[in-house]
Amino acid sequence: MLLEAKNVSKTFRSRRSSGAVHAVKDATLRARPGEFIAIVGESGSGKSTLARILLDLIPPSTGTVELDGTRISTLRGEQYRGYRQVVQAVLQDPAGSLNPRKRVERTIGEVIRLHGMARRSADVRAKVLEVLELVGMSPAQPFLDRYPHELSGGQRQRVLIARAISLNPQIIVADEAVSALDASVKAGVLRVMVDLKDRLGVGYVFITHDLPLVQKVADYVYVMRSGEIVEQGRKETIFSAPEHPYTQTLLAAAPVLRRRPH
Amino acid sequence: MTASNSTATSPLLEVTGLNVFLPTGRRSEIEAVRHVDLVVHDGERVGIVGESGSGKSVTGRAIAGLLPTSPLVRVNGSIRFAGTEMIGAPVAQWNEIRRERVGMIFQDPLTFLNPVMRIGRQVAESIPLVRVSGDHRAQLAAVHEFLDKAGLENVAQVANSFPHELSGGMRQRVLIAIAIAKRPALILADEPTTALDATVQQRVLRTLDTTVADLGTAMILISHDLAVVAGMTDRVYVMYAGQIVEEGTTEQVLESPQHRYTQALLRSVHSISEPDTELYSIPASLRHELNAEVAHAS
Amino acid sequence: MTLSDQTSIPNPQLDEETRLATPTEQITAVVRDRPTERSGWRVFLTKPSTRVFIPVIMFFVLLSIFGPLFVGDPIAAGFPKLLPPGSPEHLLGTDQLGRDFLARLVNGGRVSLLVGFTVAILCMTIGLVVGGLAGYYGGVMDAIMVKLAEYFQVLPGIVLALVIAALLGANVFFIVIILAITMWPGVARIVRAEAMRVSQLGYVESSKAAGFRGVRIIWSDVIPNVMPPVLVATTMTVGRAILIESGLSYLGIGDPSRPSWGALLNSAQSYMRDGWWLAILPGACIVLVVLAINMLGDALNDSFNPTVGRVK
Repeated sequence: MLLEAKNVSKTFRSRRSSGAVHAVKDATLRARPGEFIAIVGESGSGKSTLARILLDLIPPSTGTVELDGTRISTLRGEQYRGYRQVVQAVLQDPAGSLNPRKRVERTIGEVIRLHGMARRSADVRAKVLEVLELVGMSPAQPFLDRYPHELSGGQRQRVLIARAISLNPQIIVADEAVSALDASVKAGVLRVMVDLKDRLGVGYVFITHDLPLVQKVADYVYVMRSGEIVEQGRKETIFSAPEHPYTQTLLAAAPVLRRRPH
Repeated sequence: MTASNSTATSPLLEVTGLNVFLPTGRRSEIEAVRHVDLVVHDGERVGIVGESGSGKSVTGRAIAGLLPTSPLVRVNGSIRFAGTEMIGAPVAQWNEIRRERVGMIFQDPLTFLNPVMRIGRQVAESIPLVRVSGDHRAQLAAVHEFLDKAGLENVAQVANSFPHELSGGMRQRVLIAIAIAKRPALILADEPTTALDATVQQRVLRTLDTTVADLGTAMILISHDLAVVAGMTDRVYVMYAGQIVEEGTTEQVLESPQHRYTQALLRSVHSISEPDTELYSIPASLRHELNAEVAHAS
Repeated sequence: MTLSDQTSIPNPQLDEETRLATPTEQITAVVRDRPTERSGWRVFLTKPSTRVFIPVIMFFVLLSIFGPLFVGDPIAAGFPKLLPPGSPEHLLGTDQLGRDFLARLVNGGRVSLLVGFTVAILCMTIGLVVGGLAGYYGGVMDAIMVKLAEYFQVLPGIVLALVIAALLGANVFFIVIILAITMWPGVARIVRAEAMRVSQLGYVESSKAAGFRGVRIIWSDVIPNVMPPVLVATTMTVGRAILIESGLSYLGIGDPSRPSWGALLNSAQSYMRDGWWLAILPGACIVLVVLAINMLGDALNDSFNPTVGRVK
């Protein structure tokens, strides 16, 4: 399976002036199952817009997103559903990504029902428990009846991942999925994600501003700046021999545990 | 640059046995800060590090007198500025401290800046009247000077802008300008760069570093990010579940942490920032033990 | 790198994680003085005005439901005319035609409250549908819905009522319909604004990405999360509908066989001097119920969005 963005651009009309904002310019990107790709960039780089285009949440102004060579804009009915199932989203903002009125069981169970992964209540519940265990919320039973505000940030993020993997997706698009978490919790959630890649062959499009994190988990890296992909390559290459000056700046700015010089 | 009325014997800030209880319901409350002792000397830079929920921000707010004024919020212990007890002090006295002695920088400048007032006026308002006479020109010059010190370019234009017209990094610099404009004895920075991009964060931190060094101001830097605290402070307090679990020079704490929580915290940070170490999250058993200890101690 | 060694965190620790996450969240909540949803209800239920006015409303509602079973026939005449309140047979006296006034008042309350609550529920339903569609879809759908609301809002309700009463006869049912179609745009506008806000949130986007259809997302993600301000607006609508119905009855548009409080007030006009209670009692009931409902609406509003202005 291959999810591809081909020469994708997105232009927003500017609210204040008559000018237009080019959020994404001519971006081309490939994602496959089993591969951890990262899109790195700072705020305003267009990385979240690109993620939303991949997820068909907003249409590109020009260019196409293709699943195994078929444009997703032409998918209908069962095929579109298939796309919705194999490509899953874990979106940023841990406080806002879960409906505050839904318990964990419903949040996960409703997508399982929607995609017909299970139908009978008992089966749906079993599946919910299974995916919660998979993301390390174990024992899972007590979490079923919790509302989002009764969960910690790390737990909410795990619920989102559990919901995504409940559909046996092949690719998960994760937009700043762990950015708001404490280092220790971040490490825990990342480990779950990497483990799912190793065991289930899930692929990731991991969008982040956090370079150390990328170095830790990614296989392939795209660097974005002002809507453009300025550099791409295997992680080892990007980190050891960055070519674009912007990549070099980013690497230099990455926070390091260093004492204050006296 | 020491405050005029501080005596040689008492430190700039001395917090002893601070407890803060926050309401979680009408009859329930949590002890967000437990028996915290903390000292800041003139010109010293002190870090407070902890994960979310560790009580570090609540401690900072207590020191700035910015906890909600509700009878359900209970604060006890002692907070002394240059020997003057502030717990139970009248509002006027707190206002004086905040106006003249303590500059504050927060994570989200938009909640701190007035959205309908131009930047220049907001900076001008924090310059004590005694220092600048009524002369409009002199005041403007002072405003420009502080904006410049905070690392902003085109200061005249910035002074003429409204907060929403500036980028996040610029707003944070405006907060620095406002904080230093009062020439405080202490700057209290609570997650000052958490919301910024790494490149911007680096530059803002450098500005903060040099301005604080130039003015010889003492600083408390509160952050969840060990890397930020490590690069900016002389001494550090590590908080967990409302308590200070470890205290020492930044060097000591980073290089030979004594407490097992600090050790685990450092390990989890290293596990992300160093490419060859395995991802490590603080084990459940340790949190469990620590929580039991905290519960036992109170 | 395996899942088993450190990440398979047992539940107790996750519990701790939850508990320890509280202080900062708590202080944010306290500092911003913006109670969360749950505490909103708690705040509401412990407000002094709630404690006073909930019993008032309950009293009138119960009286309207069960009262008519215990009082006599509101249109049976033949008792002594204009008997003042206080007699054992006629606790609140009789009217100008010698009908038991307690019976008339209790039955009138039934009509007034029925009109108030039905109109409010209709307004809320239409408002949720129209406002929800407009706020969630935006664009053309929004433009259409906003125009629709504007057209209905400028309909002159009273004139419409007069025309319909003249053509089809006065009837409680028509009055409810007329009030509902002229009053729903107020609710719809609030729903639309809230739905626009909620539609920007991550969970709505997540639901889209999961493959849910728009209508389903509106129903299960948007509507539940716009309810607090909508409930406030609906509460206010109850009071306004009762008042407008009273006004219409006062103008003589109403069902003569089922007099509401407004109709009682209307027919008391000529007997102010001889039968003061005929005007004072229904008047007082209207004032009390509308006051109570508006106070509860205010209390709801204060409890849920203290930072936003009053919903009018």
